[in-house]
Amino acid sequence: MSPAARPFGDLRLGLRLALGARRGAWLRLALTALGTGIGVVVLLVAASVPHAVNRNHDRSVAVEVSSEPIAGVHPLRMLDSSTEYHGDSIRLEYLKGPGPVPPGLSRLPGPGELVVSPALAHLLTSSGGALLRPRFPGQVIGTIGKDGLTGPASMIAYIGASGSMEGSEPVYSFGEPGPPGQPIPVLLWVLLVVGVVVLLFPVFVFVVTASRLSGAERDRRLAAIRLIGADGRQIRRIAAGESILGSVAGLVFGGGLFLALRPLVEHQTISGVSVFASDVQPSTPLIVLIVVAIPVLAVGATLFALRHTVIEPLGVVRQGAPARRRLWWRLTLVGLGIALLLKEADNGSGRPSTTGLVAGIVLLLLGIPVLLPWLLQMVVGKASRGAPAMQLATGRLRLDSGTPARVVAGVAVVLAGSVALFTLVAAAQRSYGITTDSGDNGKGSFYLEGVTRQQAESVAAKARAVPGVQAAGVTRQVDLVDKDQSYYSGAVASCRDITALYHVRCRNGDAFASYDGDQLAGRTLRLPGHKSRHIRLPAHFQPIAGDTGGAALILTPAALPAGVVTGSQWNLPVHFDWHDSDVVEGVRNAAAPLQWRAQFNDDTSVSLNTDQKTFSTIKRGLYAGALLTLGMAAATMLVLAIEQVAERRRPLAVLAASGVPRSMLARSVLLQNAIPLALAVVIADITGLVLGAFLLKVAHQPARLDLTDLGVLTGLAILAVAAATLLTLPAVRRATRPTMLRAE
Amino acid sequence: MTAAPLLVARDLHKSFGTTPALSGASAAVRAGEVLAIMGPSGSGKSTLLHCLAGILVPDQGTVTYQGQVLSDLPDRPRSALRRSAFGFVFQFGQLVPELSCLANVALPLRLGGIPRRAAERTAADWLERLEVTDVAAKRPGETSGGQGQRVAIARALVGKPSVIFADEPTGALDSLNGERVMHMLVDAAKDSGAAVVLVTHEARVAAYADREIVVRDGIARNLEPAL
Repeated sequence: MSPAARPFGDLRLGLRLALGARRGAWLRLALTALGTGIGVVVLLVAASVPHAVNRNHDRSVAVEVSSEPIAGVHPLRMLDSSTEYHGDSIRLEYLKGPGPVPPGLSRLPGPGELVVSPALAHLLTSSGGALLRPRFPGQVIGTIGKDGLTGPASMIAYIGASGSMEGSEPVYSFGEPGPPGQPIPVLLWVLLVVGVVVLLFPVFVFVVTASRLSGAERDRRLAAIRLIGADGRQIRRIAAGESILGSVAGLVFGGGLFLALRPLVEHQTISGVSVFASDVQPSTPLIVLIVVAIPVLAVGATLFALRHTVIEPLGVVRQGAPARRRLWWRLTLVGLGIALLLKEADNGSGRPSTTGLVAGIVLLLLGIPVLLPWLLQMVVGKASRGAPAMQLATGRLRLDSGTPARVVAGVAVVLAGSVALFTLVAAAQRSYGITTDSGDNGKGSFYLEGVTRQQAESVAAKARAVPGVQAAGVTRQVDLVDKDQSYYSGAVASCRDITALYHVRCRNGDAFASYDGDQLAGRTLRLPGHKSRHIRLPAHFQPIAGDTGGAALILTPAALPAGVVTGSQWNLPVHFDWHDSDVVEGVRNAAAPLQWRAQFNDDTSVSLNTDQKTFSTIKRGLYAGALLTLGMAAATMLVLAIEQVAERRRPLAVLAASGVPRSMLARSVLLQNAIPLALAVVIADITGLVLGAFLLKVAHQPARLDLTDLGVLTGLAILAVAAATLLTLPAVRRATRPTMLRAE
Repeated sequence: MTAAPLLVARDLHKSFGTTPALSGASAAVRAGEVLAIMGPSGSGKSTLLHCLAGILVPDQGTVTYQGQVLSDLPDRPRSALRRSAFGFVFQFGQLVPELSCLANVALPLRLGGIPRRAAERTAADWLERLEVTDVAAKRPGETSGGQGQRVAIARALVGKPSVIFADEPTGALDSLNGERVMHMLVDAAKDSGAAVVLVTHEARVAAYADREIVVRDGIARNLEPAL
């Protein structure tokens, strides 16, 4: 082998050693592959976001209409409308051909025909869509193809219409770039950035920690190779070759996991936006970067770890006192992170700098794994007294505080990041929540345009027939002006409707005032557009409590001169029981035959709005991510603990044979994990709360302490580590058997 | 006229922390001879062997191999020398558990740049000479103590070394296996013309040596040949 090829020979030897490894090293390989794989999935998802956003924008552009005349093209008549179903918005496009066919359709639907999106088609045919079907009485002739949808969760219906279609627009083509989309709100944006950083960081810590599993076995192996003449550089190349295997396995696993999980993205909606699985695709340069970077990082981490490890031919480390850890650079890192976050928090503009925010978060979270070893060393250094179990545990930790500190640091980073994220989510939910002042009654109103009184009365009658509706009325709007040219809004309704809606006694000719209108008592108001028409208001009004939809006055027909209230616009207030969300759907169905001529506004928050659902999705994702990474951390702790017990099995067996109770040995193992964990939890909770407070400031949200999620997460972290520790006990029992005293 | 010594250690001092291991040890090894280093536990026998083999660098004193001062060499050339000129048979943990016995024996050649097939052919020859061909495909953990030591001897000799360093090579073996291993080690070394530096505290093992030196309290006595 030529000297130039020798390095590759050493790498190949390292790969071969890793493949021939024993059980402990296979566990290391599995954990490394798992951690690396999860990191690869997060990276691939993050790398896919630009493409997914671009594709979503492209799809939005593709369905934009253009009313610019094109020679030779007969325009399509198109009218936009919408409805809502259990908080989900459904776009309705009424079409009348001939004309250009919208993207995703093979032909224009005729009168009585519908083409719906796949999500809407599924809803209409499911049991959950029973109350929606009356709004789509036509025949569904097909589903909209992917080209005509912005996302798989899009709810759209193209409805064939007939008649004059007042208010419709001429459409000559599709694909006109529209106005730029709304930017992601600052709060959501911060959540995304923090989420990615928090997920990637502990994965990195776990991969680095997992690479140290079976470290003693590997050190002995490398020492044996050193003995027969491998120099320091060869040993590092061999060790690097071993680490490549884990990273390559992680790449393959991560890539496969990404492809397997990708279809699930079609079931998620964030801020009303859904993406097709095929749009979740990292760009080729980013894929290449990830494929190259992961093994390089793995090798780099191995070489960096070996920088402080001297593999000598004898493989025996004559240990002196462990090196004193310096505090100043650790505090400098944390201080830098805080300074960066403070700078972003005091940033006057609405959107913080990505670089500054990410750097600040990373440095603050990095403070945990760098501070913990120092803190642990300080604590166990001073703890020289105590029960024998404590002495054993602190003695062991004094000898090697780095490894347990690193492992619980991973748990702590997850805990801190999750606490910060949950603080943000809680604030976001408060910020985006809608409050109602409807009291116990739900309130909404229809706005009808281009319909007759008879049609309006029909809608009101159907609404009253819906179980749970307390009242529905038909009103018309009239504007009144005083001598100072101030406008006042009035609603004209029959006594029957006024009595039903506002619970007042009524005679035709009466006038009522809301809180706004009381000042108008006794005044004369002019009716604009009717020069000589005036109305003199009574000296005393019957007051009407509650919401009148913005009208200052409620008037009976006889209170106004004849013929002043005309036109085809109607308002239909509806009062209903808001506790049952099906009631409002039944109310909406009352106006279904009027199609685009009727719009219903629900003024009561009876279900989560789009952003609330988004935050629920994010919160579920956070808990899932926290559980997964805590599980990984616990598994790593378990393997490390079992390995440490195996390494010390003879001394433990000697202790047990000498009469030391096994329970004491078991307690020392428990304390070995409990002491670092306790420190880690304290640091993590403080860091999480501080980070959460900073991020709330960055997102211009008021600071508020929410201990519920903190308590749950801390409890989960403690449970995970306690479970891992308890699972170590069988290994302790085995190690203390007298047979362990036998020589090899 | 006696040939010049192959390997010479003069007045070696070595401490580990504040604990002195060698306090002025000297030794010389002739080509082809079997030298036993004896002494009580903790006397510095192994440390002297490690210094002679270039594994440890003494704090004071020199180790010279074929006229070249070994103790002054940086790690890389010392490692290269161990690879090309020395062989090792230790009591424990010397074979790589993840590799087969054949691959273990071939490893020094592979590290020296010999292609795998050629290295394994040579390794197979040595396994045959030491009568352990049947464990070629097995891992060290699957062999008996005696078989493992014979594999180690094969590995020590595969590179045609000038000196073989053996530290308690029979320490983990029963007396029958121990004798068999010592016979094979000494016979194979003499056939190859390699010197053997042997650390032992057992007189019956030292009996295989042409000469012995005693180390007490870090000082080696009874130097021959004269320096």
